[in-house]
Amino acid sequence: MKRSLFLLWLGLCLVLILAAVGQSVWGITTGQGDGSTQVLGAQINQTPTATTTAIATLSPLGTPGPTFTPVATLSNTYLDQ
Amino acid sequence: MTISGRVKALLGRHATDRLLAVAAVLVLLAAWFYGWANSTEDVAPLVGSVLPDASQIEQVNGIYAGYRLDVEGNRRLVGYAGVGEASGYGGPVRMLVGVNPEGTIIGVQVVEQRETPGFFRLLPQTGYFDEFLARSVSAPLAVGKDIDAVSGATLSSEGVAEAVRRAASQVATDQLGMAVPPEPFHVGFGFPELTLLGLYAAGFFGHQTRNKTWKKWLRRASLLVGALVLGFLYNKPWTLANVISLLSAYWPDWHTHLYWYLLVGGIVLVTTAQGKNPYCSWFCPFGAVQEGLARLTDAKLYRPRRLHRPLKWIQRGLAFAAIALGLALRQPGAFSYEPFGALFDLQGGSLVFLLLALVLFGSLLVYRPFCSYLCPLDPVVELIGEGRRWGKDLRRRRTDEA
Repeated sequence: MKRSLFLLWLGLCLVLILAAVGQSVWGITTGQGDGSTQVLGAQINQTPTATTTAIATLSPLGTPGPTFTPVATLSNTYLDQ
Repeated sequence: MTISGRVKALLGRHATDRLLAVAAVLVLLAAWFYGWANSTEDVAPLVGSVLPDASQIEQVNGIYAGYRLDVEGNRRLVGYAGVGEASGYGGPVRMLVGVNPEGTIIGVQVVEQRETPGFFRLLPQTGYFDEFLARSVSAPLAVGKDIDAVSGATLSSEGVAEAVRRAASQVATDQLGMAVPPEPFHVGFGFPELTLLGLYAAGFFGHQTRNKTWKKWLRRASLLVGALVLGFLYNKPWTLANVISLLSAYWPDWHTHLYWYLLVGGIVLVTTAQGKNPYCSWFCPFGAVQEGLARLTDAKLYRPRRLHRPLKWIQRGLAFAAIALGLALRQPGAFSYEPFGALFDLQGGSLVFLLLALVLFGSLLVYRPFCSYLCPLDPVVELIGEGRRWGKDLRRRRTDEA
């Protein structure tokens, strides 16, 4: 087998492997592409911050207005939704 | 003796190779710790997705209780949510399951999974998670009984089902006071495990025998069985994902994943103890397919004299990068770039299918080109072998000194 043909073959294989690995890294770190986070949506595998997940309490009529509680302090408290 | 002298004595011959091996192991350790420190998943933000009617959620003893407020401000129980964990293909699968007060599953959510993305993606695409909805917590919730596995992602399907069953059982017994069927205990020993043991035995006798004709035919038979059973029938070859799972300490339950232990443990044990690779030349299904193609055209081993060594270093570098990434990001399956699944199960992305086509074409021209220059498992076996030789070297020198 000619060396140049072999090197061309190997080079193409390497490009494909690097592209596949790069796609996985990009997908996992950004939550897009071919990474695991694409599987069920970006919320999976991402740890939310308190600021992004504070949700208002639905208060009954005539009672004080909504309050906000960060999810990070959820343990044994109420998560307002 | 000076420090450099001591280091040289410790490394023995092949000092550069061994120094690089030590450096590689240190980097992998750093990747492992990085991955370990960043692998905790937060369950709390997902609870709302399995108890959609809840406006307040309370956590008690690891179980979440969801409530909603009625117009009078009274809290009404909407349901409970619990987390269950089981082993998948690449590592643990953790599922969050929402159950209403009547004991019916109303929501299922993945908290954590380490499966191969291309395969795990099949689960939501085929509506697998919906199979659990509206079922009672006292149902078997088992693949093969009341749940159908997704073809091509059987291990992931089983892992998810087991995790859902465990979560549902916890809610049922702890909060609802319901009786649930006991977790079935069975050792997963069947045809693939039996075949694997037979292939190890064939390899052992093949290595021992001095009769070359026997050895040749034994090897050919092993390769054929490996390709047909471990490849095309069950798609269970040894992959880099197995290595990363092993290093990540994602060891599955032995009784449900006996094959994993026989395959990974057997290869590591035989290579360490006997110094011989029991897998690659003897029953690797992908190697067997390449070898079969080479027979069609009488393709020969190709080792360009000056290029061989640098090319082997590229192969080692690729394997090293894939393992380091797998450990750091705790995703064993995502960096397993071998096109095994594309060949044996017709699963994978377009890049993997292109790679497969190139490798199959290359196999018509060169004997086992993927094994020689691309497979990440060859450097893993090399590293185990090098560690063994190094240990033997050290023991011999200590004996000589004594």
